[in-house]
Amino acid sequence: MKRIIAITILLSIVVFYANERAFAEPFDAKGAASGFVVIVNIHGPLLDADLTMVKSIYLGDKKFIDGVKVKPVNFSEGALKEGFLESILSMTSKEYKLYWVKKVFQESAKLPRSIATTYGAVKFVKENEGGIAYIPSYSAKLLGREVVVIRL
Amino acid sequence: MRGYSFVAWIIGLWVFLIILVGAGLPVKSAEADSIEDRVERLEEKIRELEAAESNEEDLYDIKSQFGKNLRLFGDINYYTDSRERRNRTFSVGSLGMHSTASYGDRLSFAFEMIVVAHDHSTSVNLERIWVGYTVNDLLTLRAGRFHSALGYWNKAYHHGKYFFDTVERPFFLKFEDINGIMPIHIVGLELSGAFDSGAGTLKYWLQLGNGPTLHKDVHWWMYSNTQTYVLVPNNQTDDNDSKQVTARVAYEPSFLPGLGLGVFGTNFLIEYTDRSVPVEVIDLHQSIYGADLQYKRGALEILSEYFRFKNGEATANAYYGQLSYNLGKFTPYARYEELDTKANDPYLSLLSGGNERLQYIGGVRFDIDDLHSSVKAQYRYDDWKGGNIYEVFEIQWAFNF
Repeated sequence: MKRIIAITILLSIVVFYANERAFAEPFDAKGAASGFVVIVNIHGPLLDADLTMVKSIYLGDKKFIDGVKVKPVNFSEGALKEGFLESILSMTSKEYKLYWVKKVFQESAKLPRSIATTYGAVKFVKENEGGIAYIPSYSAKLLGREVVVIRL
Repeated sequence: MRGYSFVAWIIGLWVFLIILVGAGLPVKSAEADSIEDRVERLEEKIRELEAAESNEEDLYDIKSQFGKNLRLFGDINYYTDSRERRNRTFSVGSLGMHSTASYGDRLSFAFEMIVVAHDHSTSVNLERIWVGYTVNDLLTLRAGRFHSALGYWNKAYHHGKYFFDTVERPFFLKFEDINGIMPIHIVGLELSGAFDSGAGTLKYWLQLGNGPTLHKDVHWWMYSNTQTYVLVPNNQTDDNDSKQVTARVAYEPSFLPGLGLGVFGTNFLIEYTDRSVPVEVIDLHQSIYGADLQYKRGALEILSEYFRFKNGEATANAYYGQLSYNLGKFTPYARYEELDTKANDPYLSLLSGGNERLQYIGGVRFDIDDLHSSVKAQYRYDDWKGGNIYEVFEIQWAFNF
């Protein structure tokens, strides 16, 4: 029994270390290198959002800030969404979908809205104080005054 | 004559210049007409879509949200000879219907019902039903019937077997009606919330509800020489004034994404009749507490939980450790689980599933589809104290739609 526990612990440490090596890249300068920027409403509570908060929002753990309901927006399936999920959440699209399916049926959580265009994402954030979305980095110069890019 | 030639040259030059400039003037071509038409049609389409969205929002409060998130979960199984099923056999698992809904930012609902096909009958069980109100991230209040906050697995996984890698839950976490030894469900109130600090996220669950009761197990002869019982949640009436309290606190540190650590505990009162003194009702105060660890990052998942059972006369331990590693469509896994009891434990000795037992499980899950269907094949070594050892081969096709 003790031998089994010892072998299990040893094996777990080896596998854990090997898995951690795959995540050696530091979390910095997120977004720009991956081709997206994160945008928020200039009048909302998310101007000071950092990487941890953005992660919590997109995992459904953070729902309110200063009484304002946070409303995250995902892009439709594609390279931009994959890049965002990988950079911010260290998840593939499949893992993210599975995570949310479980969350919906465990807690009756609300799925983040999915939008197909940069125009739609910017419009949503502009019209919602708690809105947060990600768009291609080359679109950042076209935002207007109501929507700003936050640095993570 | 020479003068006329010069004038003719000038006039000719002017005519030529007029023709040249005229040719360069911007005129509306057929192509430009086409682009304008397209822009106008697109703008009209956007207006229509915005109007439709606005109508949808107007109807939101009136329309039923039931069915918006509706899903059926089921599984079909094949087992070789096992303690639970003699002979090699196909088996229909329970069909679970889950639905969740929300109105506005704060009101939420959940419903889970299962249909169970027995050998000669079918039963329908209401497994979860609750209504919830979210005040803020720190506080959500729910009322209804839900899974008790005893550890990680019981809160994370419900009746849909598609969601977990193995064929079954750890045996000591089975539902009450199939020889579970813990109150898996509770009817009452739940407070829950999460707090984000720089160091990580702290989550809590606090439940107050009816404790479980005991019913005679009609299949007691499969597990014991004397009558044994199964735990039954009190849905309609608590059989005593004492209430069950359950709490769990979990921490997800920022320094190690993917890691979760939890501690939990519960206390409840069971009233039972001593077999040796049939008319005497005995009050048994039972506690269950423990700790859990989860680590999920990339391809690797580690789950481990420890439970300690304690009453006035005896203590017992149950624990499991599960490891899985995703390789694309395939996920190999292994689990060890054990229940370590004492013969004189007044709580566990009453229960059909309360016998000392250990299992080794090893298998592989194959995802036919990313979200809807998977096949699991596993080997299970089942050693029950005082009983036969079974080496079981199990295949399960789990699905949802």
